[in-house]
Amino acid sequence: MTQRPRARPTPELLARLHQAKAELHARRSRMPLKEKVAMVLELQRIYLPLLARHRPLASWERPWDVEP
Amino acid sequence: MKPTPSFAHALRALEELKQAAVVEDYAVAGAMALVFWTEPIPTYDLDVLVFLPHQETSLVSLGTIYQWATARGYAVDGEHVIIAGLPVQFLPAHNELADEAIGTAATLEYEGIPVRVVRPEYLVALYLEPSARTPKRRERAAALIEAAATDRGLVEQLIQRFGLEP
Repeated sequence: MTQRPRARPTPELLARLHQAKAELHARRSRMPLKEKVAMVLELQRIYLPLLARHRPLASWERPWDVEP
Repeated sequence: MKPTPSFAHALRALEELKQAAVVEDYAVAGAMALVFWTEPIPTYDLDVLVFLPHQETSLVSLGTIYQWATARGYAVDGEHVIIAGLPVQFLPAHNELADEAIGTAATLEYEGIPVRVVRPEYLVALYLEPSARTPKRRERAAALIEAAATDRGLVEQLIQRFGLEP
């Protein structure tokens, strides 16, 4: 079966995408501490169920019951 | 109904631990230290490097920390002390690099609570220690090296001085 050549992103588009990602990381790094802790709490709620699918969780691996 | 504790409660407990001379000094390390220097990542416990007061035996014991925790009503779960809802792991300084990481830690503030935090350059060095090297930790080290707060020259010095592999 012959395949048509797949269209590829231009170097400029790739550079813009990489730049946008770097800016996202930089913005997150500059967030106020309290917002960062709130994000950690949110990440725990997202990641722990996913982690639990791969291995049994330790007794202490659970979302922190704290306010940021 | 008991109010939900805040992250600051756990940090205040660390300061109390130092004021009560249960530890000589401490510094938040691990993923929660990253939160102070770069973007947040998922983590499930709070790592705290500690200098324990002089002990007569050459074997380090965390007994005094566990006694302090029990007296304050904090549960102990395996190697973690549950402080204000957070599993906290106390890690006695294991070598000179860890000694320096605590000694040079930055005193920052979280919601008005002072907190000692390992500086980013030392976090990188700790992540590059042979006993600590995992793909996840190398990734964290790489993220820290990119952080604006990180002095890359100091990272290079630490790598050389402690014989670490970049």
